[in-house]
Amino acid sequence: MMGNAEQNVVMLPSALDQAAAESFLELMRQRVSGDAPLALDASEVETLTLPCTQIVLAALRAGESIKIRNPSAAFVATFEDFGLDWQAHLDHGQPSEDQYGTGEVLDASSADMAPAIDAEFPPISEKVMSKRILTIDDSKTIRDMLMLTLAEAGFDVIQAVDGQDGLDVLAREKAEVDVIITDINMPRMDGYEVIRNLRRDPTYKSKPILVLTTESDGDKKNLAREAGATGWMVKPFDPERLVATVRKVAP
Amino acid sequence: MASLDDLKKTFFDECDEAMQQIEIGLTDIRSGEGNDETVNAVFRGVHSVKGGAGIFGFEQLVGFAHVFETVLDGLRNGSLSATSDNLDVLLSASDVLSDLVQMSRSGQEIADGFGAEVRSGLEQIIEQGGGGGHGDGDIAPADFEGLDFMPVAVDLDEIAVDAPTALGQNVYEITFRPKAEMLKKANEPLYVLRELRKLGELELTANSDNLPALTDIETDVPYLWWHATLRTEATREQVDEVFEFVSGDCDLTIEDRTPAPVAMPIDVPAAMSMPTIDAPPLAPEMPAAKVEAKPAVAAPPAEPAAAGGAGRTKPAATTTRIELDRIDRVVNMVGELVISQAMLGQIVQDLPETTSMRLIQILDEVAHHTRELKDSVMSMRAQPVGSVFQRMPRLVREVAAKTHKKVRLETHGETTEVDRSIIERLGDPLTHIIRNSVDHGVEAPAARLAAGKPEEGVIRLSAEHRGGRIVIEIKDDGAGINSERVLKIAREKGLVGPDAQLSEDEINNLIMMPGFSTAETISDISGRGVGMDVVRSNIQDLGGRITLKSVRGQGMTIQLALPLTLAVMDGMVIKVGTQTYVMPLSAIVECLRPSRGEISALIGTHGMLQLRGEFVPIVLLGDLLGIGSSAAANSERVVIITDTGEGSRIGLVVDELLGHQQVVIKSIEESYGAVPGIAAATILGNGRVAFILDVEKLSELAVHIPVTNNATMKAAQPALN
Repeated sequence: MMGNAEQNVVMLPSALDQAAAESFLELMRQRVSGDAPLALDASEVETLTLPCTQIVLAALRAGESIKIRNPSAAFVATFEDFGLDWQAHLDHGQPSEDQYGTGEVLDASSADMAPAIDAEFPPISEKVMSKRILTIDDSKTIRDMLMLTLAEAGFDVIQAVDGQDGLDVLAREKAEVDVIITDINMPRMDGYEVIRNLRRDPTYKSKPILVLTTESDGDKKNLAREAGATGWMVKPFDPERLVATVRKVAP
Repeated sequence: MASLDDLKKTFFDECDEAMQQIEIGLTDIRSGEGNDETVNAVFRGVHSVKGGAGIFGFEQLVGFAHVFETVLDGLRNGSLSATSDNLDVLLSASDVLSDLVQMSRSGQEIADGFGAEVRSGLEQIIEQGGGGGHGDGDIAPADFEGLDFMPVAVDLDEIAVDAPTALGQNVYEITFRPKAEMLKKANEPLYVLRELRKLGELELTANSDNLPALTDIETDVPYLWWHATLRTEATREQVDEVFEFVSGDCDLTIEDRTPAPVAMPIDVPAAMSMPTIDAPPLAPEMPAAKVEAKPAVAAPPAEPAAAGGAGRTKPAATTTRIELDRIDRVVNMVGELVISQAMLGQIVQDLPETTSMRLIQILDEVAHHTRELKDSVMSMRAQPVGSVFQRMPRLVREVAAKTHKKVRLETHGETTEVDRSIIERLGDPLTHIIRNSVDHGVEAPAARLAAGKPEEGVIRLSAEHRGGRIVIEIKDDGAGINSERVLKIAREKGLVGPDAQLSEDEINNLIMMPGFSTAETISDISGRGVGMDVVRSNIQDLGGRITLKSVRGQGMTIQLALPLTLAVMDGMVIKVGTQTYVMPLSAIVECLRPSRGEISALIGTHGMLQLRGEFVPIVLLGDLLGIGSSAAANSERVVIITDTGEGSRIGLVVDELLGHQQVVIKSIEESYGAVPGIAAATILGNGRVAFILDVEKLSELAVHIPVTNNATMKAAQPALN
């Protein structure tokens, strides 16, 4: 099993979400060649969703000797929740410790000396940072209500007063936003337009957008869906339900 | 962070704005000035009332707003037309909505049938026109029942997982094949599966047969699909809800494989699947679930584009909300600044001229900036009179309906701004005047036709800035004041002496005398004896003037001239004896130093000043204020001619004019109570307190029975000439 770690081990990035899929696919295409032995070190994976899971799966299928090494809890959970088998692909020949997760120190000899201490330690990551939500609504009542509820639930909330303002806030702040919640009926720019704009923007293409409106009929909802909304909340809503819905699209 | 109470306050503030928007919008549409964006704005107004009301559980408000909104939506998408009948209903609906807002705000119990008539009017419109694309009028307020802001905390997941097993288990067979559309909308299959897993015991089989090789794989296409068996206490609705956002973007089958009812302890048919014992806490899901089941109706494609497009043409002014307290604090600080600056000026004046020259220059600049600062701050507190005007159309409609008259209200200059302290106190007088105009001024339709006028009377309400004041005019094209009748009543009530000769204008002004009411049948609308006299005193309390002009058969015009602010004013600093007073500049017509020959003695008066052929009674201010006569020689005294706005002038004799100055008004009523003749106090440059005189009151004090005395004076005029 001795060999050049540079060649045989690929450190999987921590964020393997939809936004990262293209570059991850590129990486895999470069590193996977035929049936050459390769270890995919999954110790740093924190986010893993369907597009990248499919890529990992396709990579593992490329050859018998392509293996998973040190899968993180998030990696394991994703595979199991997808009903996929990961144990069959596990690199049993390798120790399971990789203290710093660099991939470079990994070989059998160093692994023997490495104390198995911190496999359980969660890495310092975005997980401890709260998710940031942009709320766009022209009614101050609703904005305050959202702020009150979401902040209490531990989200970081930024606000915009109409659609145009929402886009401006995103452009100006270059804000890292995890979820966008928008009203439909607003002056200057309505919610549909906001969604269409964001779906055209590579940065926000794959961010969940929730539509918040009292329009409870199918028309408005379908229009929002066509524009690319992820989900919707029918006003009035209670705090529990609001938070539950947000977590539904961005756990 | 905002508390719930803050939120509520914000909500009602917003309701006020929305109601204004609605009223103005509907009025514009009615007058043909509206466009698509006007309709949109009205819709948004109702919509935001409804949205907020839902949060706080104001069910009746939500229910009514919903029906209202449905009609507006029909108007918006063209399935309904803005006929005048429909607009009448919409206008009454805005009245009802406004009432509901007020009642909700004050926490009043709202009767069940409140506004039912108007509501059924709205529903009729919906039926006629189909109600437009919004047409889920059946989602009645019942859907929102029991939905308070803070419902009992219920964890949806816990209900599902921890519910007693006695309820029995449901088994669902699910196949789930995501489509690319799902990923495009940022719906992650993983999260959907996890939600599903939360409901119970999930056996999941992934099918990856479609997964291509690494070289062919694409990042935005889902290749995996799943077959699942879910054993759960959750209802079918709860399962459906998991797929709520994605059901259109995936191939989904959910089959109920719940075993036969033998497992069920009671005789509930299996088809019902699960008794909804735990349903109440889940009420919020009802609207969503219901809607999901509806077939999609073809969307009106023009709507979003129109809304977005029209919206952009009217960029809104950028605003920020500031608590009034904060602005008031700034106003107070500016007031203090004005005082300090005046003090500084005083000191500088006492310096030797060599040192003071440069200082005076700088001080002038400071004075200039202070004035600008004051104006800016005052403009922050300023509000358009529109906020008062907007209450009037409703009033006119209601009173006209009660009196069976046809009246149209035209408003002009709604954007004219005036300090909010004045706005707040303008509502009552205006209401009273307009009510009077409809009730007493405008004639019944038949009488109007007989007089050769159009059936519909017009009341014109306008506002404009004129010479540092705001002038509000209420003009009707009614019958005008019946001066014979007014004079008769005034004589009967002893308001004027039996022999007094009064001009038409003087007679007309009698209706503002205390205790005067002319309506022959006292209606419940106006005329309870508390009438125009209250209006007059209200306006005078504001430092304003009211004038009235009436032409028989052509109508009446009432003009209110008000100061723009109550915080700072221009005053004339005067001296009487050892005391210093400030007289509002707005009350002063002219100041002069008459020669002895121009003053004629007349019995019962302090004297009469002959001023350009007219006689003006003069009074020693010192006597009026009870501080005695001054030491100054008669010839050095100054007469200030004041105008109280009713055509009655009076000359106040003072010792000296000290100069014109901006003064900050400090109320004394709170500490001393009202003092006749003194309006307020201020602090002068030398740090001393000076009283601001109430010229109107002083004139009244000077002439005990103003009208009769005035009349005798006029009568005496020819004799003197």
